[in-house]
Amino acid sequence: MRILRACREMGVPSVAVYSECDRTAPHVRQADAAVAIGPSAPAESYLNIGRIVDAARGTGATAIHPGYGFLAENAAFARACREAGLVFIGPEADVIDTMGGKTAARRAAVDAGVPVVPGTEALVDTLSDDELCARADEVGYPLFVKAVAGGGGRGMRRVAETDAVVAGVEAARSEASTAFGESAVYFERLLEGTRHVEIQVLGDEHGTVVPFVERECSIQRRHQKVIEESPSVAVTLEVRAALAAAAVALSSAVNYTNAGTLEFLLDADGHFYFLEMNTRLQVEHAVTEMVTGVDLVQWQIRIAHGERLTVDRRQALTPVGHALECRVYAEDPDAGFMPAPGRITALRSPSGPGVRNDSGVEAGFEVPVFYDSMISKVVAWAPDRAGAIARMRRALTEYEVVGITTAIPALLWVLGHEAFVSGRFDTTFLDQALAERHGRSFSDLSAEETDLAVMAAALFAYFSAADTLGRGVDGTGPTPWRHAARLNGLRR
Amino acid sequence: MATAAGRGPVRLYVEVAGERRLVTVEPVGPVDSDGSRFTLRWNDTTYEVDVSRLRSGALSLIVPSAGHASHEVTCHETAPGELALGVAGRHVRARVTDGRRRRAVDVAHAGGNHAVVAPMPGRVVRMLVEPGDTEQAGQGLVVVEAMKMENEVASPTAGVISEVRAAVGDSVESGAVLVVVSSEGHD
Repeated sequence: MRILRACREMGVPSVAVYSECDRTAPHVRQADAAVAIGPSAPAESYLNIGRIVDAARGTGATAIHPGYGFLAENAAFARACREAGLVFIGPEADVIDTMGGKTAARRAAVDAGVPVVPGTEALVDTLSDDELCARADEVGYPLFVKAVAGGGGRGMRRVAETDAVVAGVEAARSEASTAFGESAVYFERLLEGTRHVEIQVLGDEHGTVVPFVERECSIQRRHQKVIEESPSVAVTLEVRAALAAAAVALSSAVNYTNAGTLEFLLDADGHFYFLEMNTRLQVEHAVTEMVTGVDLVQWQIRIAHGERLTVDRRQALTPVGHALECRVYAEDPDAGFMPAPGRITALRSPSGPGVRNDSGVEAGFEVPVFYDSMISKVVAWAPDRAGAIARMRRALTEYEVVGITTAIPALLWVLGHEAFVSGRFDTTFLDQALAERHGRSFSDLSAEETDLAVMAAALFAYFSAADTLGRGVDGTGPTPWRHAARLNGLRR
Repeated sequence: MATAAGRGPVRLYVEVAGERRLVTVEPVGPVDSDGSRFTLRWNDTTYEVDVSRLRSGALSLIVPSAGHASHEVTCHETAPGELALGVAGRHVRARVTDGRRRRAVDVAHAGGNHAVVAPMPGRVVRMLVEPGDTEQAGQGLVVVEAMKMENEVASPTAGVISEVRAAVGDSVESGAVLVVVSSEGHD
């Protein structure tokens, strides 16, 4: 939907591709054309390069935007597009190869003079257990075993001591080969007390790279980003300038084109270390758009067609106000954030001043079991951070999703947490704060709210019974309130 | 639209946050979908409330005695008698039963057959039990994959597997019966 909107604003006709279960998804109905590419399982549709390229050719499309999921960072897909005479809206395939592989990206960063987190190259399979331990000892503990092809926290193991190295490597390798089809892993020192900041860049085909004000994504649950914001409360003007310079140095060194993001860890003293680069548009790009006024997706399309970047550097690095993004997932925070797909029976999206809701669902939509369960990204903008937090709380309270369970109660709790509000947190904050709750519900109600729930439940049951009797229909099976209605003599 | 129903009071058991209350719902005047007045009573609590039903299934409630406080509560029936409510951005589960149902529930807890259902739509990837197996409460019965994650569905009770209704590879809807466990309780 995000991409479609940009296309429509630019007067560019769009073609959506869809799998079986997405036939009625909003992006399919809103596109100018739509092509079925196979069954719901991703491997047979959204990950099938041949079918997507054929769909583009069959409809006369000239360019492909890979979105930010599935094939967005796949060099083979970028190559296939170009071989088919299509414009791939993203960087060159070779650049995806270099920067998408975590160890190659680290090497490129070192060459460009950008500090990296202490770590190793990919560990070859032939290393003995003793050799593995020796390499780990050199890096120092605690450390992460990370998948070279990793992402989203998968293929990653924390190792605190030499004795745990071999088991950690085995676990990470097996998870990596399941998740990414590639088992290569490497060691990276775990820097404690650090925050996750990242720099968005746009690069054109004429050698210009524009860096944007940082985003902070330290609010993570099991290494998955939950809340993102821009600017970061922890970044001074000097650090921002240094981060931007590092991002430009590395991007220019690899001739990076189109949109990309360089992720860094930032310690309490303002030192930062390059982590990895995402060679695509990111989910959290909207916060950057809100504080800079630059439409990143429109620029992606323009850059891919050879246009020169005319984004003002000062505008890109000078945030106006503050923006927050909350990822709203269909999951039950009171059941360990278990996915909770199902049919959305009614929906009221947040709106009003300073609120943006990038969503691909609507009432009647069945949240599919096959894909990521994110139903929307709510972005709130205000002149300052406190205002943005208040606005986000207001927006999430307004957001009614009926029929499925969402993580909104947990998001509201984070937004009210003292550490979040004060800005004193690092990447471990959320997991620790969650552990300290010991499973306590996020939906604790006051006495008044409990009374309200009791009234609503009783009245809902009353009306259901009245409807049944009023229509004279005795449905398929007796529900408790039909019993109740009868027992209590509603028929008199 | 005035419904034919809605004369006398109705008594329902409403369970919210682990506490069950016997609630009397009594309409005050005609029942109309655009706005009706009710008196609700439980224990020593009495509320008069103005309620409107919205298309979404939500209820708009105004409580004159509480400074005309205006609230919206979303309501969704997840299973017969089971409600998922949304109150001010939070989720609440409620169970509404009458006297007969409550007895049925109590009997089921004492012993009998327990249907173990899929907690979410998904695909059955492993069956961990066969008919005749003896299970402890909390033991895994079936593994259902949904959203790239495997979720083990556990036995709610100790007992013997009396029926297996799912097979590996089945796509199951939320609430579909996977396994029936017979517990050894006594009526």
